[in-house]
Amino acid sequence: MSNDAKDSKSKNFNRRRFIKLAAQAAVAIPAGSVLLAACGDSTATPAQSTTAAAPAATTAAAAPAATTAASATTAAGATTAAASATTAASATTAPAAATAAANLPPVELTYTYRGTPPKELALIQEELNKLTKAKINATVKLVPIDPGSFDQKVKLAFAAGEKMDVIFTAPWANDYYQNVSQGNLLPIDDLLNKFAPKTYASMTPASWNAARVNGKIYAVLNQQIWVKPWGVNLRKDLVDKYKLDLASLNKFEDLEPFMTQVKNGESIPAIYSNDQGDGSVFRPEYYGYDSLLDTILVGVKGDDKDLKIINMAETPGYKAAAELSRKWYQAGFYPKDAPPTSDGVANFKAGKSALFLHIAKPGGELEAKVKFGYDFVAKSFTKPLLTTAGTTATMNGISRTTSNPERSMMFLELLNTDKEVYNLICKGIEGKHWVWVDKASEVIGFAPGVTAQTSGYNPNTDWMFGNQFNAYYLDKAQVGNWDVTAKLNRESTPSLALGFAANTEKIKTEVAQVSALVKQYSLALQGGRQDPATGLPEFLGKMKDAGMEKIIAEIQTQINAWKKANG
Amino acid sequence: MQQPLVEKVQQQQHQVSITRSARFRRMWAKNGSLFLMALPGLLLLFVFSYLPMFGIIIAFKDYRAAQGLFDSAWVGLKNFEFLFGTQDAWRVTFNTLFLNSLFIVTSTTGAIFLALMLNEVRERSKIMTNFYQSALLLPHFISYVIVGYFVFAFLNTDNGLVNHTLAGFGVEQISWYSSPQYWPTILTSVNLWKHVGFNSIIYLSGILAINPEYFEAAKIDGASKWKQITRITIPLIFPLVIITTLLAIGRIFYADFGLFYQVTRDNGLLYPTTDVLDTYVYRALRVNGDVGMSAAAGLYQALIGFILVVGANWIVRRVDSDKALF
Repeated sequence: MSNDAKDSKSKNFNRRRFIKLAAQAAVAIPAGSVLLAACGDSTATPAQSTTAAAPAATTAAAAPAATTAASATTAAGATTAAASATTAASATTAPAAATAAANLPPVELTYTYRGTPPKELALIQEELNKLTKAKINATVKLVPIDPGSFDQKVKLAFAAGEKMDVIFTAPWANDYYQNVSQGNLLPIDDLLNKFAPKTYASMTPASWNAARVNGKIYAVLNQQIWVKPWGVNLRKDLVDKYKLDLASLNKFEDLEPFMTQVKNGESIPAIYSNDQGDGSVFRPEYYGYDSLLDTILVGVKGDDKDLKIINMAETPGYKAAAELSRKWYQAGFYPKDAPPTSDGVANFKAGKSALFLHIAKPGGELEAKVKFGYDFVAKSFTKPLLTTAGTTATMNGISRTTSNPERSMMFLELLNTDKEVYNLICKGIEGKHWVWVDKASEVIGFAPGVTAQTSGYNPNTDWMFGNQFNAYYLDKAQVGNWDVTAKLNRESTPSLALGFAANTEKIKTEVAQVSALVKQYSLALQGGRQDPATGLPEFLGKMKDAGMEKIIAEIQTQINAWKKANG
Repeated sequence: MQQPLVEKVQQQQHQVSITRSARFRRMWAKNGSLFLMALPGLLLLFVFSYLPMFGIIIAFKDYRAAQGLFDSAWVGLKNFEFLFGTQDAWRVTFNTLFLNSLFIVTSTTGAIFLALMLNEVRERSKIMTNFYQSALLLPHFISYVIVGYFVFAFLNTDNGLVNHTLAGFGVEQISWYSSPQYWPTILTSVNLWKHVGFNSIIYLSGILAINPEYFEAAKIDGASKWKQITRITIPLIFPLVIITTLLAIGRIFYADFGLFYQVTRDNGLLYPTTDVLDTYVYRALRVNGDVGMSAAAGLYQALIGFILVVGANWIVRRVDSDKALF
């Protein structure tokens, strides 16, 4: 045996070793990822199994092939869930809820919503837990996520199977329909009946229909203003100065004389606008359209018995609005370059705008004052139309990854019916953040030494947390507003498509293409920065190329089927 | 042959392992600290570049978080359709390539030019060189959000610096944010301003590494400054130029999102010349947030980048095989 042979042997050995190592790596890496994926699943599995086991709820999604270990946890989960379900059911029927609460096993819930985390969140949470502990023996962790990153973070949390219980959802933030189609939210029909009967009874079945997707409800509607009375909010100081008669305002065009006065007298562009589309005249409901897919301008005429799906950019209303904006832009009623949102608000605060085109809702002037720092008067130009999008504008659902669907629903019942809990989360702590001004008519004010700016807790987003009609008033002038709003909701004309929600699953490619176009053209056209004479035909031509016809045909098929199913 | 076979093999293996471990120990004693220093970088590379490669399959799937990576349905190339479906999709491809090539050419020539000048200054004043370097480097660290505001301060229609100046000369004001034709120039200037300093430092270090004897010899032979630059400096830093250019070409399909989104203020009127793949994908998918389609866009960018690097390297190798990267 020479050295050569030995060498070649050791070389062989090396090569063999290398192949072995490579093979190990090839096995280990996918195995590792399978393991990771399995870990991701395991958090979800108990949730699914409890749902399946609890008589209260229907199955969320097809459970993945269960291993022995998984089925073991399923069995264990099932018993506890069944037990908690029965006790919970008796709790709601028992008259003394507090004593029943003690019978419930303690749980920890999370409430994830969209909002900048306030300074004194911990205090609110502590106070909230005292209430929820007594009422439903649960502690609730509040998880506000900054608006800018809310969607992204929630999406990642869902993708990672992170434990979440109650979660804010809407068509415009943490997309409700996408969540439903991806199985991120639990269907809650049975939970609602069993654990939130008061909330369920507080709204008409027709309203609940708006939240249904394929016949099932996936989130609790927040009661607030559901109709969109588009109109104008004007600075009171300038209205008084130029002696504007609000009764003379009945359509957007009627604002022109006032805006000219403001332009000449104050040398400011009257309209508050930004690069996100604020300041736009085209508002679907103003022209009687039920906007089914805002981002791609697909809608239906609210009173069209045939429910013919239309491309709203092709309507005369869209063209007229674009032409009006162009005229106003050239007259100097808009800032020449649309600023980002924050700059727009800062400009308004500095007195560089005179009005904003938005909904004129009861109590809206006060919200506007908080935002812009002026007193406002408002006038609506729109006949209220009740649409699916308006009704489902803000909701709270229960995540697929919840540890306890029953208790989550009980917490939702508290948010929607218990004024103490709801106002704590909306307004903060009595004596620390607010004080009674008039307890009989439920008017509150800031606590002594506290202002909107200095308060450690002032989210100013009542509509996020539950039934806004339970919110305390911030001003004596507001008293009775909730009744007016509720009446406005009740007496609005329901769109004939109320309850229909389009599903874009089959037309994803086309929706992506068209929404890119809408962002490109619609903001510029409806902000007056592009001439509709050349821009609009270009826009429509490109929409056609991008597959708008296919989108319309698909939604038409869906709405026809929906119409058939709903008589 | 009395020895049993098994024992013999074991003995050999033992010897092998001794020599192997000895060799390893020697190598470790020599390079161990270097390996340790490289370790964090290698780990990062592994975790962020190699592990996620398995995610490529998402581009071919209808990804649902609830179903997980492996159970989501296969959809073939459907996720890629939106990238090629419309005229606009082709336009963004063109814009991406065109603007990025423009950036590569301008920032490379600009950086070489600056490096040469800095090198000349260095011979006269060390302090001034440091000052110039710092001043040139500073823009590199400014976020594009802020750069966007700088540009807006220059170009806004109502009271921008440029329009004020134009008005001062009696020239008609230009509505910059609705005139797409100017934007390739504006974006190129901004990109140049931001990156040229950083790149010039790379080339300056390359110049400093040149053996000074070449220059001394050239001086003795009476070569002018210009001749020294064209005959010595540039040829000697050329391999460096090729490497940095090849690296830049590898990223040619990744537009700088900050530049194209913040500096143009995401303005629809400017899209004809400023819309690039990254902004288009962002805009198209912000609505439906489809993971599969985003992954498809990412894969498309990576694939084109890969092809371009290999292609460019192939060309370099054909021309001068010594200068090729691989």
